[in-house]
Amino acid sequence: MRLIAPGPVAPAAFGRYLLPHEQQVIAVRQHQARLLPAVTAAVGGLLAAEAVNGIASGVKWAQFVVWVLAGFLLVRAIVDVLAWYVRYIVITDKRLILISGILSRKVTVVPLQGLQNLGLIRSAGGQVLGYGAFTLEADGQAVAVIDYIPYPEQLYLEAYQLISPREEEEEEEEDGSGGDGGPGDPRLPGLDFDDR
Amino acid sequence: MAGGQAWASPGDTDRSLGHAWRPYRGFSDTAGRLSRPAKIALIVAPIGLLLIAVIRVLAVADYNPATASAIVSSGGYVNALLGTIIPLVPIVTPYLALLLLFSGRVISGILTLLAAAFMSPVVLARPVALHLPGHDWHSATHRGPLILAVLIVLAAAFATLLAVELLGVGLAAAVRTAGTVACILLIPLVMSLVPFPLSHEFYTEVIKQPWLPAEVITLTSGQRLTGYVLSDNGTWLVVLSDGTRTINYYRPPQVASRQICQITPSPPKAPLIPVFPAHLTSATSTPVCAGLLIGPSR
Repeated sequence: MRLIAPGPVAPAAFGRYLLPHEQQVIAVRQHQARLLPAVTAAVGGLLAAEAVNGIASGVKWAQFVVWVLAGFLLVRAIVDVLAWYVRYIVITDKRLILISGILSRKVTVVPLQGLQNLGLIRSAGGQVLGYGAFTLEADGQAVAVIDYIPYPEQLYLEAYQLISPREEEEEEEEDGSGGDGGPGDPRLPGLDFDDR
Repeated sequence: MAGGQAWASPGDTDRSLGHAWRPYRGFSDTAGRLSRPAKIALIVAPIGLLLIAVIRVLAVADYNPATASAIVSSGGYVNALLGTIIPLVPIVTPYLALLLLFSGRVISGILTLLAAAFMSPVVLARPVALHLPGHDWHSATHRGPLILAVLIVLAAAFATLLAVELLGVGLAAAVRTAGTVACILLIPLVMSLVPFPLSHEFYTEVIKQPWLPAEVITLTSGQRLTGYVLSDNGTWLVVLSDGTRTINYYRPPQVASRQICQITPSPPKAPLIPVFPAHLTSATSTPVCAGLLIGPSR
């Protein structure tokens, strides 16, 4: 089973990071809210630089410094957008994988086997814009936080089922309805599925 | 193995992954919560201060290492270190405030900016300095219609994005962004009031001048010289000559009189918000060294 969040199309390059029998379940980009600080600062920097352009004529170097800083903010925003575009959070039936990096690719992996719990944090801002954060816990301690997760409730349920497969199997055995389309179907509304 | 490392340690996840995947740390783990730049800054700060002190002592000693060593050994190492750095603090404080604002340390930036207003000497008169923001606003808003339209569009976009950031990401992020933009807006004002050290004579004089008060020393032979008394232990008077930047030793009986003076005739510059305005508006009573040298001997 392969679940891709609506919007971005996951690159085929994910395959090279998957084990032979590993199935990709979720592949999402971070929420666009991740880009807000950098983009806002870039727009504000351009505004400030243009405003200062008219008043800094009497001050040596001021215009140059101001435009250098505004350019830095703009470049930082572009780099942030590019980094966001190529960064994917992939959850398979065995691992959590973060693939990132514009020029150099970095792959960070957390095996699901070591995880004992998965927490979901939804800040006030996250509830407004629709993102959340996963807290991964192992050995009774939180080991990592994945922030700016889109569709947090849906993805949380999906990911949680992967961490606790035994309970699910037991329930399926008791219900006798573990097939696709039954009440225990982990498929979620609003998400595209690609069964493979 | 097909995919990357087998287990990502918290330390690994913290590197170059932005905010996507960050390790969890307890609230009591203060050192762990410091970012890598903060750690580097903490380690490098003492080395940086030491280097600044060395550069300053060398500048005071006219780049003569022997004189620099004599200054430090006569005046004491701690005194030399503090004396070289403290006079530079008012000069760099406004720029440090801008740096803090730009890097998102808003509260620290505002506090540093306030400190700068109380201690950094401004080159403009206070009434002119206080009218500068209003004048700048007038200049920024009275522009061509095309530029005004661009400014209005950018302002509307910025206000909208900032509002969304405030609601969607949080107050802290929005304040950091506003601080970054405010830093850019403040640059012309700061550069007008406290010009950058390397581009202004006033500051180069400050860096070149020792941290000790200048004195006109009159010897019993009638000779007068301007210098800085590095130490006076009762046996020897160690004097750094102002003109030649050489170290001179005198026995106390050789010295007829000493008079504190100031090298430059210009009065000391006042900060934007002087704590004691009455003292700063009155003329300084310290005589100019050059005037004492040509005057009658006492």
